[in-house]
Amino acid sequence: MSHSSASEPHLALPSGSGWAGLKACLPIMIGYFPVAMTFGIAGLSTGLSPMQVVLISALVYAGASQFLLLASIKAGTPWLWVVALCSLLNARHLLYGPLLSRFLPERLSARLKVAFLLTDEVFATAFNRIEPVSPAHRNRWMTLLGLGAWVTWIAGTAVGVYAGDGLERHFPMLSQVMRFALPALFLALVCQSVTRPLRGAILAALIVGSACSALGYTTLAILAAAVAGCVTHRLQSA
Amino acid sequence: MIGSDFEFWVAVIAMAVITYLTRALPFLLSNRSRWMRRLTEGSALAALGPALLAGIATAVIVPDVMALSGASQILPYASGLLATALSARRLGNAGVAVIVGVVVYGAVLVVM
Repeated sequence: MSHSSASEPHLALPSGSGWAGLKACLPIMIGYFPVAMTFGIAGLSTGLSPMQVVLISALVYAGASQFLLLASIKAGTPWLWVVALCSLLNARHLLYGPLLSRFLPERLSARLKVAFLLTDEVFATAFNRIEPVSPAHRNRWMTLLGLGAWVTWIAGTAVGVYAGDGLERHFPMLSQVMRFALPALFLALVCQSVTRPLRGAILAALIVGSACSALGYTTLAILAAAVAGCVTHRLQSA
Repeated sequence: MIGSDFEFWVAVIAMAVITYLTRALPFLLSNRSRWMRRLTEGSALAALGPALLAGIATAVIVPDVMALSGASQILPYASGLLATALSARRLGNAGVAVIVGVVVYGAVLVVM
């Protein structure tokens, strides 16, 4: 918690300067590492070479799509089908850019670089935490947040590929405990986004999202929850 | 079928391009476009961001919860979630809340 005051402005760093973006990334890093490790181990078991598995993580960089690719390789699904399913899985990403747009620099090149790093977790963390960052530092903050997550994802995959089996055998509980970081991260972000005017909308989103997820439609859950939240908010505002 | 090396790389590159496009296309729209204005200004869509977060949270947490069985799995998960939620509300820092949640989850898991 910051205790800087007006009497000591020379000591106060502008919000978001330095390594603040990387610091904000820490919960994502803790959560990503074991999931990426699991991907590395699973990738090898489908018969891919270590380099192929690591390159998938570096290039595609989308957890659900990557696991879908592995399942499709095992099942022998036609690749056009895989690509179509990947598009459906990623449709939700279309909504992230517009919501973050007002916080990002106007330069298109800077925005297009950040776009590559915009996973669910990076979006969620940025959406909740970028506003207090001073506008001059937002690009750096966002880049460090995104790069931290991306590098962790690649590193976790590489560790899974080259040492995953041994690590899982020796420290099975550590891996399980680290995996809890992702559900914890999303719960924390939801709790922080609850305000009085949005309480009803968030509750409706949680109910609809939970119902769809319980039925096994997790991608649909995200989109249906977004619609339910907006509709509820509109009805409450009317 | 994804059988040959060539088909594998076509699928991977196509997935990489599609994933990137879904993330980048909205930035290519002008800030003045009606769609962008509706998403960023106060309206029914003001709830979109928080509702999306809630949706992602359910997509991550509910399948985990459905897979739990017995007190030895349910109690650590419930304790971890409760500790995370309380820390997030009280401390106002998502990073610290996650670390508290993970520690509590791990501690209860060891005790159970």
